[in-house]
Amino acid sequence: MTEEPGKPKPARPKQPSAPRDANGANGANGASGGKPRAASGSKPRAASGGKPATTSSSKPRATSTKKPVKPVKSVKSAKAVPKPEAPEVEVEAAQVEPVPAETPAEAPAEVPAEQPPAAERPNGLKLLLEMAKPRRTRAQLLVALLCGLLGFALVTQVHSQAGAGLSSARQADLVDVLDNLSAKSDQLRSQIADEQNALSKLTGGAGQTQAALEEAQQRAATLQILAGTVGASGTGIDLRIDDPDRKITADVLLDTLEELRDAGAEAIEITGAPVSPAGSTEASAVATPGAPLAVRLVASSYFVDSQDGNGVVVDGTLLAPPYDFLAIGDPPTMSQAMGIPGGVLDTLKGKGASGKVTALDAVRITALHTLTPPKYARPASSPGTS
Amino acid sequence: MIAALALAIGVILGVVLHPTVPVGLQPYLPIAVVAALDAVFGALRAMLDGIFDDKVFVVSFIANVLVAALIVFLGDQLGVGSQLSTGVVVVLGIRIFSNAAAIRRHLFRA
Repeated sequence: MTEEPGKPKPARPKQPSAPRDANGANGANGASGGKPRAASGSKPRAASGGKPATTSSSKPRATSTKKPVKPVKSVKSAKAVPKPEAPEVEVEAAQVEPVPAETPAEAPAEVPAEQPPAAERPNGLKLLLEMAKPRRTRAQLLVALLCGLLGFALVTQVHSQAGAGLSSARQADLVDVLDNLSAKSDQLRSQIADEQNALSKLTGGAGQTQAALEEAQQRAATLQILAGTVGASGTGIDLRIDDPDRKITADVLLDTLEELRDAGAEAIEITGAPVSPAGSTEASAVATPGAPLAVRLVASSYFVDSQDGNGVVVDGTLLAPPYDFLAIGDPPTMSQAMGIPGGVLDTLKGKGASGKVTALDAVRITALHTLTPPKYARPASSPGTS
Repeated sequence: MIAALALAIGVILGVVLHPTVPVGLQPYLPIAVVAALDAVFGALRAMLDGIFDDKVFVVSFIANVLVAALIVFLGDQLGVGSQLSTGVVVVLGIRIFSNAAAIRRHLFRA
Protein backbone atom coordinates (compact mmCIF):
# COMPACT_ATOMS: atom_id res chain seq x y z
CA MET A 1 0.00 0.00 0.00
CA THR A 2 2.74 2.29 0.84
CA GLU A 3 4.92 1.21 -1.99
CA GLU A 4 2.92 2.58 -4.91
CA PRO A 5 2.42 6.24 -4.62
CA GLY A 6 1.09 6.84 -8.08
CA LYS A 7 -2.14 5.60 -9.53
CA PRO A 8 -3.47 2.89 -7.25
CA LYS A 9 -3.40 5.07 -4.19
CA PRO A 10 -6.36 7.28 -4.94
CA ALA A 11 -8.30 4.25 -6.07
CA ARG A 12 -7.76 2.36 -2.89
CA PRO A 13 -8.66 4.86 -0.26
CA LYS A 14 -11.76 5.85 -2.09
CA GLN A 15 -13.05 2.36 -2.36
CA PRO A 16 -12.95 1.88 1.36
CA SER A 17 -15.29 4.77 1.78
CA ALA A 18 -18.23 2.51 0.94
CA PRO A 19 -16.99 -0.37 3.06
CA ARG A 20 -16.49 2.01 5.88
CA ASP A 21 -20.21 2.32 5.99
CA ALA A 22 -20.63 -1.37 5.79
CA ASN A 23 -18.25 -1.60 8.65
CA GLY A 24 -20.32 0.89 10.49
CA ALA A 25 -23.33 -1.28 9.94
CA ASN A 26 -21.63 -3.92 11.98
CA GLY A 27 -22.66 -3.02 15.48
CA ALA A 28 -19.39 -4.12 16.97
CA ASN A 29 -17.22 -2.21 14.57
CA GLY A 30 -19.23 0.93 14.40
CA ALA A 31 -17.42 2.69 17.20
CA SER A 32 -14.00 1.51 16.26
CA GLY A 33 -14.59 2.25 12.62
CA GLY A 34 -15.35 5.81 13.48
CA LYS A 35 -12.14 6.51 15.23
CA PRO A 36 -9.74 5.62 12.44
CA ARG A 37 -11.83 7.62 10.12
CA ALA A 38 -11.22 10.65 12.24
CA ALA A 39 -7.57 9.78 12.35
CA SER A 40 -7.38 9.41 8.63
CA GLY A 41 -9.22 12.61 8.33
CA SER A 42 -6.15 14.39 9.56
CA LYS A 43 -4.35 13.30 6.44
CA PRO A 44 -4.78 15.72 3.63
CA ARG A 45 -5.79 13.11 1.08
CA ALA A 46 -8.36 11.44 3.25
CA ALA A 47 -9.79 14.72 4.40
CA SER A 48 -11.22 15.39 0.99
CA GLY A 49 -12.98 12.07 0.99
CA GLY A 50 -13.94 12.42 4.61
CA LYS A 51 -17.00 14.49 4.07
CA PRO A 52 -18.80 12.28 1.63
CA ALA A 53 -17.95 9.37 3.82
CA THR A 54 -19.65 10.84 6.83
CA THR A 55 -22.67 11.88 4.87
CA SER A 56 -22.97 8.58 3.16
CA SER A 57 -22.49 6.71 6.38
CA SER A 58 -26.18 6.97 7.10
CA LYS A 59 -27.28 5.91 3.63
CA PRO A 60 -25.28 2.78 3.08
CA ARG A 61 -26.12 1.74 6.57
CA ALA A 62 -29.65 1.39 5.31
CA THR A 63 -28.42 -0.43 2.26
CA SER A 64 -26.28 -2.73 4.24
CA THR A 65 -29.18 -3.63 6.44
CA LYS A 66 -30.94 -4.74 3.30
CA LYS A 67 -28.05 -7.02 2.61
CA PRO A 68 -27.08 -8.56 5.92
CA VAL A 69 -23.37 -8.76 6.32
CA LYS A 70 -22.25 -12.34 6.33
CA PRO A 71 -20.80 -13.59 9.57
CA VAL A 72 -17.75 -14.76 7.73
CA LYS A 73 -16.87 -11.22 6.86
CA SER A 74 -17.60 -9.87 10.29
CA VAL A 75 -15.00 -12.23 11.65
CA LYS A 76 -12.42 -10.77 9.43
CA SER A 77 -13.35 -7.20 10.21
CA ALA A 78 -13.38 -7.98 13.90
CA LYS A 79 -9.88 -9.29 13.54
CA ALA A 80 -8.83 -5.99 12.06
CA VAL A 81 -10.44 -3.88 14.74
CA PRO A 82 -7.62 -3.91 17.25
CA LYS A 83 -5.17 -2.64 14.71
CA PRO A 84 -4.23 0.89 15.37
CA GLU A 85 -3.46 2.02 11.87
CA ALA A 86 -6.24 3.61 9.98
CA PRO A 87 -5.47 2.27 6.49
CA GLU A 88 -5.59 -1.28 7.73
CA VAL A 89 -8.98 -0.81 9.18
CA GLU A 90 -10.07 0.56 5.88
CA VAL A 91 -8.61 -2.40 4.10
CA GLU A 92 -10.31 -4.89 6.31
CA ALA A 93 -13.54 -3.03 6.05
CA ALA A 94 -13.19 -3.15 2.33
CA GLN A 95 -12.93 -6.90 2.53
CA VAL A 96 -16.24 -6.87 4.27
CA GLU A 97 -17.84 -5.11 1.37
CA PRO A 98 -20.53 -7.50 0.14
CA VAL A 99 -20.72 -7.35 -3.62
CA PRO A 100 -18.93 -4.43 -5.11
CA ALA A 101 -21.17 -4.13 -8.13
CA GLU A 102 -24.19 -2.98 -6.13
CA THR A 103 -22.67 -0.19 -4.10
CA PRO A 104 -22.10 2.46 -6.73
CA ALA A 105 -25.75 2.68 -7.64
CA GLU A 106 -26.86 3.09 -4.08
CA ALA A 107 -24.70 5.96 -2.98
CA PRO A 108 -25.11 8.97 -5.15
CA ALA A 109 -22.91 11.04 -2.89
CA GLU A 110 -20.04 8.73 -3.60
CA VAL A 111 -20.45 8.71 -7.32
CA PRO A 112 -17.35 10.77 -7.92
CA ALA A 113 -15.45 8.67 -5.46
CA GLU A 114 -16.75 5.39 -6.85
CA GLN A 115 -16.00 5.96 -10.45
CA PRO A 116 -12.35 5.02 -10.48
CA PRO A 117 -13.01 1.64 -8.84
CA ALA A 118 -15.96 1.08 -11.14
CA ALA A 119 -13.61 1.52 -14.03
CA GLU A 120 -11.07 -0.65 -12.36
CA ARG A 121 -13.32 -3.50 -11.39
CA PRO A 122 -14.22 -4.82 -14.82
CA ASN A 123 -10.62 -5.75 -15.52
CA GLY A 124 -9.97 -7.77 -12.39
CA LEU A 125 -7.37 -9.77 -14.19
CA LYS A 126 -5.45 -6.66 -15.00
CA LEU A 127 -5.56 -5.67 -11.37
CA LEU A 128 -4.42 -9.12 -10.39
CA LEU A 129 -1.50 -8.86 -12.75
CA GLU A 130 -0.67 -5.46 -11.42
CA MET A 131 -0.76 -6.73 -7.89
CA ALA A 132 1.32 -9.66 -8.93
CA LYS A 133 4.15 -7.36 -9.89
CA PRO A 134 7.06 -8.14 -7.66
CA ARG A 135 7.57 -5.53 -5.01
CA ARG A 136 10.47 -5.87 -2.74
CA THR A 137 9.35 -4.77 0.66
CA ARG A 138 9.74 -6.42 3.98
CA ALA A 139 6.02 -7.08 4.26
CA GLN A 140 6.01 -8.64 0.83
CA LEU A 141 8.83 -10.89 1.85
CA LEU A 142 6.92 -11.82 4.96
CA VAL A 143 3.90 -12.64 2.86
CA ALA A 144 6.06 -14.73 0.62
CA LEU A 145 7.50 -16.51 3.60
CA LEU A 146 4.06 -17.32 4.90
CA CYS A 147 2.92 -18.53 1.52
CA GLY A 148 5.98 -20.72 1.27
CA LEU A 149 5.26 -22.04 4.72
CA LEU A 150 1.70 -22.80 3.66
CA GLY A 151 2.86 -24.71 0.61
CA PHE A 152 5.37 -26.60 2.67
CA ALA A 153 2.84 -27.45 5.35
CA LEU A 154 0.26 -28.44 2.76
CA VAL A 155 2.56 -30.86 1.03
CA THR A 156 3.83 -32.17 4.35
CA GLN A 157 0.33 -32.81 5.58
CA VAL A 158 -0.66 -34.48 2.33
CA HIS A 159 2.40 -36.67 2.53
CA SER A 160 1.81 -37.57 6.15
CA GLN A 161 -1.79 -38.42 5.35
CA ALA A 162 -0.76 -40.56 2.44
CA GLY A 163 1.97 -42.36 4.32
CA ALA A 164 0.99 -42.42 7.95
CA GLY A 165 -2.50 -43.86 7.87
CA LEU A 166 -3.26 -44.83 11.44
CA SER A 167 -0.36 -43.15 13.18
CA SER A 168 -1.93 -39.71 12.88
CA ALA A 169 -5.43 -40.84 13.79
CA ARG A 170 -7.10 -39.84 17.01
CA GLN A 171 -7.68 -42.20 19.85
CA ALA A 172 -11.42 -42.36 19.28
CA ASP A 173 -10.90 -43.05 15.61
CA LEU A 174 -8.39 -45.73 16.46
CA VAL A 175 -10.86 -47.33 18.83
CA ASP A 176 -13.43 -47.28 16.07
CA VAL A 177 -11.01 -48.84 13.64
CA LEU A 178 -10.06 -51.43 16.21
CA ASP A 179 -13.69 -52.27 16.86
CA ASN A 180 -14.37 -52.63 13.19
CA LEU A 181 -11.33 -54.78 12.67
CA SER A 182 -12.04 -57.05 15.62
CA ALA A 183 -15.64 -57.46 14.53
CA LYS A 184 -14.47 -58.32 11.07
CA SER A 185 -11.87 -60.73 12.36
CA ASP A 186 -14.49 -62.41 14.54
CA GLN A 187 -16.69 -62.78 11.54
CA LEU A 188 -13.86 -64.17 9.47
CA ARG A 189 -12.86 -66.52 12.25
CA SER A 190 -16.36 -67.94 12.50
CA GLN A 191 -16.35 -68.27 8.75
CA ILE A 192 -13.10 -70.21 8.96
CA ALA A 193 -14.63 -72.49 11.58
CA ASP A 194 -17.63 -73.09 9.36
CA GLU A 195 -15.48 -73.87 6.39
CA GLN A 196 -13.32 -76.22 8.41
CA ASN A 197 -16.41 -77.99 9.67
CA ALA A 198 -17.65 -78.42 6.16
CA LEU A 199 -14.24 -79.59 5.02
CA SER A 200 -13.91 -82.17 7.79
CA LYS A 201 -17.45 -83.31 7.11
CA LEU A 202 -16.70 -83.78 3.46
CA THR A 203 -13.34 -85.47 3.96
CA GLY A 204 -14.78 -87.60 6.77
CA GLY A 205 -17.58 -88.67 4.46
CA ALA A 206 -15.08 -89.47 1.76
CA GLY A 207 -12.98 -91.45 4.22
CA GLN A 208 -15.99 -93.41 5.36
CA THR A 209 -16.93 -94.12 1.82
CA GLN A 210 -13.41 -95.21 1.09
CA ALA A 211 -13.31 -97.46 4.12
CA ALA A 212 -16.68 -98.93 3.29
CA LEU A 213 -15.53 -99.52 -0.26
CA GLU A 214 -12.38 -101.25 0.89
CA GLU A 215 -14.31 -103.39 3.31
CA ALA A 216 -16.83 -104.27 0.66
CA GLN A 217 -14.06 -105.16 -1.75
CA GLN A 218 -12.42 -107.35 0.86
CA ARG A 219 -15.68 -109.07 1.56
CA ALA A 220 -16.31 -109.47 -2.11
CA ALA A 221 -12.89 -111.08 -2.53
CA THR A 222 -13.57 -113.43 0.37
CA LEU A 223 -16.96 -114.31 -0.98
CA GLN A 224 -15.58 -114.80 -4.45
CA ILE A 225 -13.07 -117.28 -3.10
CA LEU A 226 -15.76 -119.06 -1.14
CA ALA A 227 -18.09 -119.07 -4.12
CA GLY A 228 -15.29 -120.26 -6.34
CA THR A 229 -15.61 -117.57 -8.96
CA VAL A 230 -11.98 -116.53 -8.75
CA GLY A 231 -8.78 -118.45 -8.66
CA ALA A 232 -6.87 -118.84 -5.42
CA SER A 233 -3.36 -119.55 -4.34
CA GLY A 234 -1.59 -120.24 -1.08
CA THR A 235 -0.16 -122.97 1.09
CA GLY A 236 -2.05 -126.24 1.07
CA ILE A 237 -1.93 -129.95 0.39
CA ASP A 238 -2.33 -132.25 -2.51
CA LEU A 239 -4.29 -135.46 -1.78
CA ARG A 240 -3.87 -137.96 -4.52
CA ILE A 241 -6.22 -140.90 -4.57
CA ASP A 242 -5.30 -143.84 -6.73
CA ASP A 243 -8.21 -146.16 -7.27
CA PRO A 244 -7.24 -148.89 -9.72
CA ASP A 245 -10.25 -151.04 -8.80
CA ARG A 246 -12.72 -148.21 -9.02
CA LYS A 247 -14.05 -148.86 -5.58
CA ILE A 248 -14.25 -145.28 -4.60
CA THR A 249 -17.76 -144.06 -4.61
CA ALA A 250 -19.23 -140.62 -4.33
CA ASP A 251 -19.78 -140.82 -0.61
CA VAL A 252 -16.09 -141.49 -0.01
CA LEU A 253 -15.18 -138.40 -1.98
CA LEU A 254 -17.81 -136.42 -0.14
CA ASP A 255 -16.41 -137.61 3.17
CA THR A 256 -12.95 -136.56 2.03
CA LEU A 257 -14.27 -133.14 1.07
CA GLU A 258 -16.00 -132.72 4.43
CA GLU A 259 -12.86 -133.80 6.21
CA LEU A 260 -10.82 -131.22 4.32
CA ARG A 261 -13.36 -128.55 5.17
CA ASP A 262 -13.29 -129.53 8.81
CA ALA A 263 -9.51 -129.15 8.72
CA GLY A 264 -9.90 -125.56 7.54
CA ALA A 265 -9.50 -125.83 3.81
CA GLU A 266 -10.55 -122.56 2.25
CA ALA A 267 -10.54 -123.43 -1.43
CA ILE A 268 -10.74 -126.93 -2.80
CA GLU A 269 -10.47 -128.34 -6.28
CA ILE A 270 -10.80 -131.89 -7.43
CA THR A 271 -9.11 -133.18 -10.50
CA GLY A 272 -9.93 -136.39 -12.20
CA ALA A 273 -9.24 -138.18 -15.42
CA PRO A 274 -11.77 -137.62 -18.11
CA VAL A 275 -14.05 -140.44 -19.05
CA SER A 276 -14.94 -140.93 -22.65
CA PRO A 277 -18.61 -141.77 -22.73
CA ALA A 278 -18.43 -144.62 -25.23
CA GLY A 279 -14.94 -146.14 -25.04
CA SER A 280 -13.43 -148.14 -22.25
CA THR A 281 -12.55 -146.09 -19.28
CA GLU A 282 -9.11 -147.52 -18.90
CA ALA A 283 -8.15 -146.75 -22.41
CA SER A 284 -9.41 -143.26 -22.16
CA ALA A 285 -7.77 -142.77 -18.80
CA VAL A 286 -4.51 -143.91 -20.23
CA ALA A 287 -5.04 -142.09 -23.43
CA THR A 288 -5.57 -138.75 -21.86
CA PRO A 289 -3.56 -138.57 -18.72
CA GLY A 290 -2.28 -135.16 -19.52
CA ALA A 291 -5.66 -133.48 -19.74
CA PRO A 292 -7.34 -133.96 -16.42
CA LEU A 293 -10.66 -132.36 -15.61
CA ALA A 294 -10.70 -129.99 -12.70
CA VAL A 295 -13.79 -129.03 -10.73
CA ARG A 296 -13.93 -126.32 -8.12
CA LEU A 297 -15.63 -127.60 -5.01
CA VAL A 298 -17.96 -125.09 -3.42
CA ALA A 299 -20.87 -125.21 -1.00
CA SER A 300 -23.29 -126.35 -3.64
CA SER A 301 -21.04 -129.03 -5.13
CA TYR A 302 -22.40 -132.50 -5.30
CA PHE A 303 -21.01 -136.01 -5.84
CA VAL A 304 -23.02 -138.63 -7.63
CA ASP A 305 -21.89 -142.09 -8.64
CA SER A 306 -21.89 -142.48 -12.34
CA GLN A 307 -24.43 -144.93 -13.64
CA ASP A 308 -21.92 -147.27 -15.21
CA GLY A 309 -19.67 -147.23 -12.14
CA ASN A 310 -16.78 -145.84 -14.06
CA GLY A 311 -16.38 -142.77 -12.00
CA VAL A 312 -18.08 -140.04 -10.09
CA VAL A 313 -20.06 -137.08 -11.37
CA VAL A 314 -18.93 -133.94 -9.63
CA ASP A 315 -21.05 -130.88 -10.34
CA GLY A 316 -22.14 -132.37 -13.61
CA THR A 317 -18.64 -133.40 -14.69
CA LEU A 318 -17.86 -137.09 -14.91
CA LEU A 319 -14.49 -137.81 -13.36
CA ALA A 320 -12.55 -141.02 -13.33
CA PRO A 321 -9.70 -142.04 -11.04
CA PRO A 322 -7.11 -141.10 -10.15
CA TYR A 323 -8.63 -138.27 -8.17
CA ASP A 324 -6.58 -135.37 -6.98
CA PHE A 325 -7.75 -132.99 -4.25
CA LEU A 326 -6.04 -129.61 -4.10
CA ALA A 327 -6.87 -127.77 -0.93
CA ILE A 328 -5.62 -124.38 0.29
CA GLY A 329 -5.31 -124.09 4.02
CA ASP A 330 -2.93 -124.96 6.84
CA PRO A 331 -0.92 -127.92 5.49
CA PRO A 332 -0.04 -129.65 8.80
CA THR A 333 -3.59 -129.44 10.07
CA MET A 334 -5.02 -130.85 6.88
CA SER A 335 -2.37 -133.55 6.63
CA GLN A 336 -3.11 -134.68 10.16
CA ALA A 337 -6.84 -134.56 9.51
CA MET A 338 -6.36 -136.86 6.55
CA GLY A 339 -4.16 -139.28 8.49
CA ILE A 340 -6.12 -139.69 11.73
CA PRO A 341 -7.02 -143.29 12.55
CA GLY A 342 -10.30 -144.22 10.92
CA GLY A 343 -10.01 -141.12 8.79
CA VAL A 344 -9.88 -140.55 5.08
CA LEU A 345 -6.67 -142.43 4.38
CA ASP A 346 -7.80 -145.44 6.44
CA THR A 347 -11.14 -145.49 4.67
CA LEU A 348 -9.41 -145.37 1.29
CA LYS A 349 -7.13 -148.15 2.35
CA GLY A 350 -10.10 -150.20 3.47
CA LYS A 351 -11.69 -149.67 0.08
CA GLY A 352 -8.62 -150.97 -1.67
CA ALA A 353 -7.43 -147.59 -2.88
CA SER A 354 -4.45 -145.59 -1.82
CA GLY A 355 -4.24 -141.98 -0.79
CA LYS A 356 -1.15 -139.84 -0.64
CA VAL A 357 -0.94 -136.47 1.03
CA THR A 358 1.70 -133.96 -0.06
CA ALA A 359 2.09 -130.64 1.69
CA LEU A 360 2.80 -127.82 -0.72
CA ASP A 361 4.04 -124.30 -0.21
CA ALA A 362 2.23 -122.97 -3.21
CA VAL A 363 -1.05 -124.38 -4.34
CA ARG A 364 -2.75 -122.79 -7.28
CA ILE A 365 -6.41 -123.39 -7.77
CA THR A 366 -7.52 -122.22 -11.14
CA ALA A 367 -10.78 -124.08 -11.70
CA LEU A 368 -13.77 -121.82 -11.41
CA HIS A 369 -17.32 -122.39 -10.39
CA THR A 370 -19.94 -120.80 -12.55
CA LEU A 371 -22.28 -118.85 -10.38
CA THR A 372 -25.96 -118.94 -11.09
CA PRO A 373 -27.73 -115.92 -9.74
CA PRO A 374 -30.37 -116.76 -7.18
CA LYS A 375 -33.79 -116.95 -8.66
CA TYR A 376 -35.84 -116.28 -5.55
CA ALA A 377 -33.57 -115.19 -2.80
CA ARG A 378 -32.98 -111.44 -2.46
CA PRO A 379 -30.60 -109.68 -0.13
CA ALA A 380 -32.37 -108.48 3.01
CA SER A 381 -31.01 -105.68 5.12
CA SER A 382 -29.84 -107.19 8.33
CA PRO A 383 -30.86 -105.34 11.48
CA GLY A 384 -27.25 -104.75 12.45
CA THR A 385 -26.26 -102.67 9.47
CA SER A 386 -28.96 -100.09 9.36
CA MET B 1 4.21 -12.77 -7.64
CA ILE B 2 6.76 -13.32 -4.97
CA ALA B 3 4.10 -14.97 -2.88
CA ALA B 4 3.09 -17.34 -5.65
CA LEU B 5 6.73 -18.11 -6.29
CA ALA B 6 7.28 -18.74 -2.61
CA LEU B 7 4.23 -21.02 -2.53
CA ALA B 8 5.66 -23.05 -5.38
CA ILE B 9 9.04 -23.17 -3.67
CA GLY B 10 7.40 -24.34 -0.45
CA VAL B 11 5.56 -27.09 -2.28
CA ILE B 12 8.74 -28.20 -4.00
CA LEU B 13 10.63 -28.14 -0.72
CA GLY B 14 7.93 -30.25 0.90
CA VAL B 15 8.06 -32.75 -1.92
CA VAL B 16 11.83 -32.91 -1.93
CA LEU B 17 12.52 -32.90 1.79
CA HIS B 18 9.57 -35.10 2.62
CA PRO B 19 9.56 -34.18 6.30
CA THR B 20 7.75 -36.11 8.97
CA VAL B 21 5.22 -34.24 11.05
CA PRO B 22 6.11 -34.12 14.74
CA VAL B 23 3.67 -36.09 16.83
CA GLY B 24 2.67 -33.10 18.92
CA LEU B 25 1.84 -31.12 15.81
CA GLN B 26 -0.12 -33.81 14.01
CA PRO B 27 -3.64 -32.86 15.10
CA TYR B 28 -3.07 -29.17 14.39
CA LEU B 29 -1.31 -29.17 11.08
CA PRO B 30 -4.33 -30.00 8.88
CA ILE B 31 -6.48 -27.38 10.59
CA ALA B 32 -3.69 -24.84 10.42
CA VAL B 33 -3.29 -25.55 6.72
CA VAL B 34 -6.99 -25.02 6.11
CA ALA B 35 -6.94 -21.80 8.13
CA ALA B 36 -3.94 -20.55 6.19
CA LEU B 37 -5.71 -21.42 2.96
CA ASP B 38 -8.62 -19.36 4.13
CA ALA B 39 -6.31 -16.44 4.82
CA VAL B 40 -4.71 -16.77 1.39
CA PHE B 41 -8.09 -16.82 -0.31
CA GLY B 42 -9.15 -13.77 1.67
CA ALA B 43 -5.98 -12.02 0.63
CA LEU B 44 -6.59 -12.92 -2.99
CA ARG B 45 -10.02 -11.46 -2.76
CA ALA B 46 -8.75 -8.31 -1.09
CA MET B 47 -6.19 -8.03 -3.81
CA LEU B 48 -8.91 -8.14 -6.43
CA ASP B 49 -10.86 -5.59 -4.44
CA GLY B 50 -7.77 -3.43 -4.60
CA ILE B 51 -7.45 -3.23 -0.86
CA PHE B 52 -4.81 -5.80 -0.19
CA ASP B 53 -2.46 -5.00 2.59
CA ASP B 54 0.59 -6.99 3.50
CA LYS B 55 0.40 -6.45 7.22
CA VAL B 56 -3.23 -7.37 7.36
CA PHE B 57 -2.49 -10.51 5.48
CA VAL B 58 0.39 -11.46 7.71
CA VAL B 59 -1.54 -10.81 10.85
CA SER B 60 -4.70 -12.51 9.65
CA PHE B 61 -2.71 -15.47 8.40
CA ILE B 62 -0.96 -15.99 11.71
CA ALA B 63 -4.07 -15.25 13.71
CA ASN B 64 -6.13 -17.67 11.63
CA VAL B 65 -3.62 -20.43 12.10
CA LEU B 66 -3.23 -19.80 15.80
CA VAL B 67 -6.95 -19.56 16.47
CA ALA B 68 -7.67 -22.70 14.51
CA ALA B 69 -4.95 -24.57 16.36
CA LEU B 70 -6.19 -23.19 19.65
CA ILE B 71 -9.72 -24.37 18.95
CA VAL B 72 -8.50 -27.83 18.10
CA PHE B 73 -6.29 -27.89 21.18
CA LEU B 74 -9.21 -26.80 23.33
CA GLY B 75 -11.41 -29.44 21.74
CA ASP B 76 -8.82 -32.10 22.45
CA GLN B 77 -8.65 -31.00 26.07
CA LEU B 78 -12.44 -31.06 26.33
CA GLY B 79 -12.73 -34.43 24.64
CA VAL B 80 -14.56 -33.12 21.59
CA GLY B 81 -11.48 -32.65 19.46
CA SER B 82 -12.72 -34.41 16.38
CA GLN B 83 -16.08 -32.64 16.46
CA LEU B 84 -14.55 -29.24 17.00
CA SER B 85 -11.98 -29.72 14.28
CA THR B 86 -14.79 -30.76 11.99
CA GLY B 87 -16.62 -27.58 12.92
CA VAL B 88 -13.55 -25.47 12.29
CA VAL B 89 -13.04 -27.09 8.93
CA VAL B 90 -16.67 -26.48 8.04
CA VAL B 91 -16.49 -22.81 9.00
CA LEU B 92 -13.23 -22.27 7.20
CA GLY B 93 -14.58 -24.14 4.22
CA ILE B 94 -17.59 -21.83 4.09
CA ARG B 95 -15.29 -18.82 4.25
CA ILE B 96 -13.10 -20.20 1.53
CA PHE B 97 -16.13 -20.78 -0.61
CA SER B 98 -17.47 -17.29 -0.13
CA ASN B 99 -14.07 -15.80 -0.83
CA ALA B 100 -13.74 -17.98 -3.87
CA ALA B 101 -17.16 -16.79 -5.00
CA ALA B 102 -16.05 -13.15 -4.66
CA ILE B 103 -12.84 -13.88 -6.55
CA ARG B 104 -14.85 -15.58 -9.24
CA ARG B 105 -17.11 -12.57 -9.54
CA HIS B 106 -14.11 -10.37 -9.94
CA LEU B 107 -12.38 -12.51 -12.49
CA PHE B 108 -15.30 -13.67 -14.60
CA ARG B 109 -17.97 -11.22 -13.50
CA ALA B 110 -20.30 -14.12 -13.06
